[in-house]
Amino acid sequence: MIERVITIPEQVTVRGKRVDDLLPWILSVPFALLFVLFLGIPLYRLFELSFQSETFLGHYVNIFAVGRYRNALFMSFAISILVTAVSIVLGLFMAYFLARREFTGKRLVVAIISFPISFPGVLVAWAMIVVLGRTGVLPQFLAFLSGESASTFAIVFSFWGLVAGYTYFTLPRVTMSMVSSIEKVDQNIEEAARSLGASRLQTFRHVTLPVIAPAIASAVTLAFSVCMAAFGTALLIASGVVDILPLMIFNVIMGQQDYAAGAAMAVVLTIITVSVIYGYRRKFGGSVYA
Amino acid sequence: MPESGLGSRLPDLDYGLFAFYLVCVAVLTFILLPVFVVFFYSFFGSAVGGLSRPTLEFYEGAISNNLDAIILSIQIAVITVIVDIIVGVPAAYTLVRYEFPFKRLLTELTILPMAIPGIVIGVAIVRSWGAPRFGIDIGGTVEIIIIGHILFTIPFVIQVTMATLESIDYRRLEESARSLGAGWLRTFVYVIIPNIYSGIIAGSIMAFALSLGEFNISFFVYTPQNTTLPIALFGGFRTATVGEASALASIFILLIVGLLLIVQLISDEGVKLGGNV
Repeated sequence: MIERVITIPEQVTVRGKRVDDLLPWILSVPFALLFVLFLGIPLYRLFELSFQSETFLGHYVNIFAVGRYRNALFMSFAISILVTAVSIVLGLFMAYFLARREFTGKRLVVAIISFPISFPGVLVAWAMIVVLGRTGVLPQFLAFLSGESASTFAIVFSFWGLVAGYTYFTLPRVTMSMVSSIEKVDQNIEEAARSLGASRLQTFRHVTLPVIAPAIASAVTLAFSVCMAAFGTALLIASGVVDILPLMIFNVIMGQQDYAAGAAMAVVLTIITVSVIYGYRRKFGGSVYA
Repeated sequence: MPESGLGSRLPDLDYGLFAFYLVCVAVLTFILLPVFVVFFYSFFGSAVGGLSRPTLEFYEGAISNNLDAIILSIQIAVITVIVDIIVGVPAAYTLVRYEFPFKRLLTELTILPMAIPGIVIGVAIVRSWGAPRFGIDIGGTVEIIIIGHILFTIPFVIQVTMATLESIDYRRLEESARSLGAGWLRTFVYVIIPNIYSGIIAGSIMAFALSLGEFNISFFVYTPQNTTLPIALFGGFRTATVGEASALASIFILLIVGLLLIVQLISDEGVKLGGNV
């Protein structure tokens, strides 16, 4: 046996505290600095700026008083709710498929579904343009079939193009976030329900759904907040066509150079997304992102 | 569930199951078709007015016009990931390991950059740091883009690191190391890090991919001299030909797919998260 000599290092102390205990805190200082300097201060200044108006809360009142601004807010809500609903329904199908079926190439299918998650919004917009735009494959194909001009079928620069684009980046996120919770559902109970005469739909409604409800809530939160915040896709597809809140912020700040009004809209948008996400955490405890 | 193939018992064809598969195929088509078309257009140009022969000229054009942007984006992503690890991993460790006041609140705050729309962070940063302040002048530099990317990606590294730390019995490991005489730093570097490094790597590749694709913050802080790949994509989609824009998009897709395949290989979890688009 080789005897090892263990030397215990002397404890270094600062004012009676062991340096060892302080180290983690010291190591966390850069992180705190990063957040304070480049998130905290900028957001605070934006908040402050949003109150700089002639009348009390003038810019906030304008968001609801000025027709264009109000419509942009409502349009953002409308698109986000519609896309969330579509994504959840289709995502449930896909998540079920992935969680329950074993087949060769499953990993490939998972990879296919999950890789659009990392696409930037502008790329998604381009993907929609090549499919639904004037030179896109679907309008070209339909024009070939019907003999009419392809422009008739080009729907990309419109509300529906925006819905398609948003669904493209929301659906994979929603699907992947629901798969693992469906995997956890006890299939024996489902089979018991089926053998007792419940239809597939009844089994889903009364056995599966209650178990996966929190996962669905998480997916709804994720989809809705991502849609509300999305900017890149909309900038390419809907700039000047459909008014939504992020585009309005961009127009007001870059076009009209009205930072204060834009700041107020940015604050409203932030309050919506942040309260949705933290509201979910408060109610269900888990993280939307894990 | 005992379900046999559709073809084997056509008489009592299960319409529900049939519809189910139909939806799944439709969804997969919806996701794959645009990518195929982008690749197709990158070789053939637009399909309008008949097909030409496949060519690589669009790729040549896309690369020669955007080489600076591609290189800059990769450089920014590398630096972003390095800073993410150096800054994020110790912070994640502190948040998991130690008890202190407002621990829960601080943990929740780490995901704030994911919850705040990118456009808001972009506007806020350019408004505060676009002009010199406190003797720091980073307006219009690459540094301000990198800082934006770090803010955007660091929550992912922290989340993955925290989750991995919680999944291992780090207290036992630590106690053993400490009782054998290792100090905090040695314990951290030689015992904790090796046990969580696959999580850190997966988080880092994810952060790398997100940094490559980050548009919303960059769009507000970039200057024409510091054009990143997504900004170049945006410009290309508006001005370049269909073929060249598709070639540039294809290059980006290939980069991302390559990175994510690596994540899939080293981590069972795969990719579930995504940043703001």
